[in-house]
Amino acid sequence: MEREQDPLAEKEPTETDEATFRTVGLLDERPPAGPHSAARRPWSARRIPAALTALIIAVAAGTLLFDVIRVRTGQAAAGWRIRLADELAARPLDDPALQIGAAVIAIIGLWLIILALSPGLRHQLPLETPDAKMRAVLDREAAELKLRDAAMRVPGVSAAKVRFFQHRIKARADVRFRAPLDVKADLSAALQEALDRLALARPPSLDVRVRPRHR
Amino acid sequence: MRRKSAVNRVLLALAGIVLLGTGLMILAGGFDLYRRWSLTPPDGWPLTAPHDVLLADADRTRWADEGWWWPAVIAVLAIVTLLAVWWLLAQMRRTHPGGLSVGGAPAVDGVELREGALGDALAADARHLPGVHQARARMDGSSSHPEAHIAITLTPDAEPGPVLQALRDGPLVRARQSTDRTLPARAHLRLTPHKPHRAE
Repeated sequence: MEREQDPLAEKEPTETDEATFRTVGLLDERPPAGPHSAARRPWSARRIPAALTALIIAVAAGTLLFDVIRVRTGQAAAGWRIRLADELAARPLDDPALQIGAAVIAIIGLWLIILALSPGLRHQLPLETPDAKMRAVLDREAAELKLRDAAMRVPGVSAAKVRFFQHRIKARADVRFRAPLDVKADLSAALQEALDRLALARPPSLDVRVRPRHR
Repeated sequence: MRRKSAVNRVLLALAGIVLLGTGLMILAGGFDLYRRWSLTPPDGWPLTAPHDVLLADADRTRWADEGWWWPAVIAVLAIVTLLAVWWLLAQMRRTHPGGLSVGGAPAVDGVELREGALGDALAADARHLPGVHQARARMDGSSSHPEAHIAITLTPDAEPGPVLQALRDGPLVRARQSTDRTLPARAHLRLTPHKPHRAE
């Protein structure tokens, strides 16, 4: 998994840092804000799914352990355990309830695998940073607000809605005066300029649509 | 942080594979796919025919009379429970670098900068930058590899690029000078929501 290589990649610069450090403050040397600095997307630690999975496993194994020990010390097995054993031994595989359960289990399993392999943090957009030891993200909401404000400054636009997706930005604007095509050209230019100013590490492409709203 | 992410992802993937595999095996047996697609499952493969059950009484009690069975069951369940509790608690812990040495290669003996102090200083420093409305900072990582986390709320007219440049040239360089290391930093920029307004 690509994830495994990260800790090593992160550790390697310790020796050189001590040497380069002294020049940082004095010369104000600026490594170019190249793609190396910010191209990597931040990966979520997946704490909430991990905590939920751990909780479910702990509760299930702990409950079963408790009842096994209770039976070993000479008491009767709990009702749920007897029922569970009976159901497991009685229901054939083509029982609809069992099939629905199996489908749900398979879907949850697939979902966990997807969670494990995907970066997550889709609402955080990586930014270009002034040095390689610094990483920065911008909230998706903030980027949408910035672009919406830029759209609202274009003459003729009465309302605008901007949404960021993984590789695409959808901008929708209502035009109240001026020719829609002119407004669209101005809007595209204004949005592109605003997008460039955000300095995103991987700017999505713009998809601008306008619709006339004459009143 | 990164190690925790790697551990979480490996364990989540394992749990996912187990669940997906179990689900698919039950479905394959239930819809009789082995016979329909004339596949031959390997010897001893469970759950192959629609009338099979998940766990027959004979299978469940096969080793129940052996002396080692119940101790083994109890040991395995106890280990699984403990590992799951450890995994759960690991999600709630944060790593802290603790104290950081100050003052350069010949470290000033006995002088230590507490991580909270450095975080507060970074945040207070960042708050004065143009375009920054609010800033919070905390330290993460180990004492040998500390990392600064800075959360910044921008003013509505600020641009991220210049703010990041100012953040690096000011507060971050000062923090790096005072700890004498190239402190890695992560910045999270937000913007307070505001209503659209028409420029006339």
